[in-house]
Amino acid sequence: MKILRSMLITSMVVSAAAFADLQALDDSQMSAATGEGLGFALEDFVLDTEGAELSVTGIQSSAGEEIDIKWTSLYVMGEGSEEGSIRTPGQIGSYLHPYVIRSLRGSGGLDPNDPLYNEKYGQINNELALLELAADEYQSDVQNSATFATFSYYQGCVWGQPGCDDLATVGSNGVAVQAITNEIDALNSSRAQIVDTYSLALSALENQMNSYYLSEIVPKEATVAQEQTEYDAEVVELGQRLTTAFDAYEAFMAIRPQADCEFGDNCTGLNGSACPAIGGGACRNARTAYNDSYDSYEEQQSVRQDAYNDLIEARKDLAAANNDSESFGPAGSYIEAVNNVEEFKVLCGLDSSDFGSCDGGLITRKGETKDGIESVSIALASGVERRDGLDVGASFEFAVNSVNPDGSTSPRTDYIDINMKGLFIDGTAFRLWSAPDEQGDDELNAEIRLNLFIKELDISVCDPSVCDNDPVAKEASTLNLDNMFVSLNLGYGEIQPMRLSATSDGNFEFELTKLRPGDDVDTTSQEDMQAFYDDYYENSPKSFISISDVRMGSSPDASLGRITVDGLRAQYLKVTSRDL
Amino acid sequence: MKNVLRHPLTIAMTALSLPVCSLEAISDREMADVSGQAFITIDASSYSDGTGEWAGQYEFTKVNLGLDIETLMTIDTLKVGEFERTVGEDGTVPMTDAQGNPVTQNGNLVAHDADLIIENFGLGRVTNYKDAVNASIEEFKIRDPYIELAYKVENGVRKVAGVRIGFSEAQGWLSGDLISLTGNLNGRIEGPASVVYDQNCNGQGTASWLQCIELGLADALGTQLVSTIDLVDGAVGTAGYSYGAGRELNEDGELQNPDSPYLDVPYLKRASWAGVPGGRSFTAPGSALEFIIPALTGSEDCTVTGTPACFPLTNFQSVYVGDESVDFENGGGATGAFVSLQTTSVPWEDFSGIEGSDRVLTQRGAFLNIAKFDSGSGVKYPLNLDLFSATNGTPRQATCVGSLKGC
Repeated sequence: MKILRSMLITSMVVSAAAFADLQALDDSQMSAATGEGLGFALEDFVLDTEGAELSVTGIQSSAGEEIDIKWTSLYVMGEGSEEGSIRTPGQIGSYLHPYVIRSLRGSGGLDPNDPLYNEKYGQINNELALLELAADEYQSDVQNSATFATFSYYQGCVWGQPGCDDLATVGSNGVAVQAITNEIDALNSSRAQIVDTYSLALSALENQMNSYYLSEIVPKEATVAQEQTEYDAEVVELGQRLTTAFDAYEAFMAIRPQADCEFGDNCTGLNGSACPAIGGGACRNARTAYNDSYDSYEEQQSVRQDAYNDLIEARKDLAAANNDSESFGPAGSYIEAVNNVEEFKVLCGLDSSDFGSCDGGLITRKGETKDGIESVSIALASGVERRDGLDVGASFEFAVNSVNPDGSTSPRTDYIDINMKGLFIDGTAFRLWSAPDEQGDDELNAEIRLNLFIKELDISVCDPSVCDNDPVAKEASTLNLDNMFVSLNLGYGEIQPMRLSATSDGNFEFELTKLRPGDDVDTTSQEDMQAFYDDYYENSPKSFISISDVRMGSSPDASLGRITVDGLRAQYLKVTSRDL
Repeated sequence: MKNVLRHPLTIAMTALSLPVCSLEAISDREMADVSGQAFITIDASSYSDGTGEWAGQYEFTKVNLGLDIETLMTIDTLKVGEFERTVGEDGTVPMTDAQGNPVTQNGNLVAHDADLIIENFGLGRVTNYKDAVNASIEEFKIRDPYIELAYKVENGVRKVAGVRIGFSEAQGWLSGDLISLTGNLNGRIEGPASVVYDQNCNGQGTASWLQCIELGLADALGTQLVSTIDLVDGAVGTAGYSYGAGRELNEDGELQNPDSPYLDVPYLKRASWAGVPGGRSFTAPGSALEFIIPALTGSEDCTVTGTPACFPLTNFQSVYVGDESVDFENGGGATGAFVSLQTTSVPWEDFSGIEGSDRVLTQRGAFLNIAKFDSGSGVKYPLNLDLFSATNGTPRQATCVGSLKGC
């Protein structure tokens, strides 16, 4: 089924891993914990299924038909294997940069100057033990895949491939450095535009805005809400009166079906709705009931219209307060001021209080990104070489019943052939620890730092019996993704742990919890709580996804360009599976 | 899932993923509820009824995920489809400043650099955001997301034509600085006739005396004006100014926007304005003046009888996806929303539930579909505006505690 051609474990330190229930350590146990772990590396690794197949059953269509899935190939080799055709040995870690499984203490509560303090574990209390599974790590910006992937994104091509190896395009003024510099210049320009709009300090402007909000906006918002409630109630009342009138009309017509009267008319004896002179009491009562209820409905229409007019006036007042261009002098309306201040804080940090400084936010983050890109670009220009990664590929066949537009079905076989050329996961880590939940019961908490960089990802869906004999057709029908980088950061220590559990009906539940202030935060204090949120926003890592080029075949005309998801963060996420 | 996993590697991975916490027996009652969960299904379909660039053989594979998702999520910058487009081709509109003045480089009109550019994107909102002690999260809810691949078969060779990610149902606030949009953003705008009257009569505006008399009558009768809004070209002074994609026909089937350069495109690319497209009119359903209003309120050069009818998308940084008056469990979620990327033209199946809808026609590049849908109690729109605040804007829904955005 699978063949491990060569596997050499070069380093095994101390085995301390145990997949058991994690418990808080007592003092004596804690004093003995010094960060033991197992380090390992797989050198000259090759995995190839060599034509063996795996069948997966149990997946169905929405109509309940079984989908026959075959996993027809899988390989893991070193970079340069030509889609698994050349048995190239790959390296998974090394003696100097091993994968590790280790148990250690959190650093929460320690002084940052303490030699045992480690920023990576700073949000997990020092009294808790955690289990960490981590891939290799590199200090060099060229070897660090997160930094190198960012460089590659801005460089716009797969470094090392033909056409993307010119040393003249790297260095301190290389293509990538210029691209990020232009981005930062644009951000600084936006910032300058905002700053030039105002003559007063940011904090003074915010005070002025806050006063205006409280005195002009809040009361008008309350009026709109009140008028909306009243209007909604009148609409409901209108509907009820209409129903009542219609029921009364039907009751009347049931007694006097020959009456020549439409719903909405005033039914009288003079317009064809006369009741019998003898024994017509019930008829007259029903007719009167209908006429009265329809009048009541019409009266309500007028009331509803008045309520609507009041609502419109309230909305106009609110819109005028929001958009009065004189409210903040040259800065314009309240909405413009809000937009400008919010935009400035995006650029310069949420805790900004001065238009003159810009020590956080997007501009600072992009500046740090530029430092990394510059470092990689200069190193490459001076001849530093990037290490090789892995080639990983897999092929699948799906036997499906395809639904045609007329509702009939036809059997069809789908093929998917995936080849990843140059795959790296350094910097990836999974951390697990046990802590009490809201009920005081121990629960498993986790934090994930996943770095996945693939220099080239190719996806082909062509029938192998056609494309394997026609390389040109295969190339033209293959989807290529260059420099795909996924940096997924889920969980932020005890402040926002990730939880995995199962529901009693057999479904799984994944949750990134709502933020949990620690015991040192006074949850009744506005200042403390705002500082807590600001600290989370500033320091908890965001996620990133980028692809420098999506392209069908090799033609530049078939390029769909870059895809960027920059700075993704879930302040809350709960995913529960359900039976389809 | 009832998979039978036969691959040793898969079995090994499954073993590694076993929970590290202790396992507890479940009761008979709990056991009775376990029926073999199937949270993944795969559907295949084909389509060959298209015409024009959507003609030919298409095949689709849709992977449905049985998931309930609740989230408050933010993204600093979302950019999809960053490749070269030429203004005027395939419905690509010029980039403008906030006042609608077209941006030029070396004397040429330029477009935004990506099909979708959304900054400070957010799903869900924070209520009481200025009160750090009592602020709380109102989640964005998603049910049964799916991933669908489209293939095109030409000369026996099958290639990936597109991929889309969508939701069976979604509900909640979607926020963002909408810098560049490609696709469908449907909205509805309404307001009393008095707004148009006030802005154009009483000694101001551009309406004629006859129009003012009729508008005055409409105002007196409490007439409510309604129109739909779409992405439009907001570049003042250019050939496509004020026009949306496609043909605007009146009730008699007469073309109302013959000068539009976008008559034959299914949607605008890289748009940053929305409004009542040139040639479209307001209606007054149920009013005594129902037949007069369209003639009085035709949109031309981004105005309706002198009232501004177009606005930059950045004016509206939050839209409510779904029906705000109905909760999620009772069907308040919007159907048919998706984002996709195509290497060539793809006719995606339309899941909006609107009667007569069949396919959403997309072309090469990225596509965002935040379109109208049938909630079961009528057609609903994700963007609902009123005449007096549409051109000025409303504040964004907060996605942070302490600030509206940027966290």
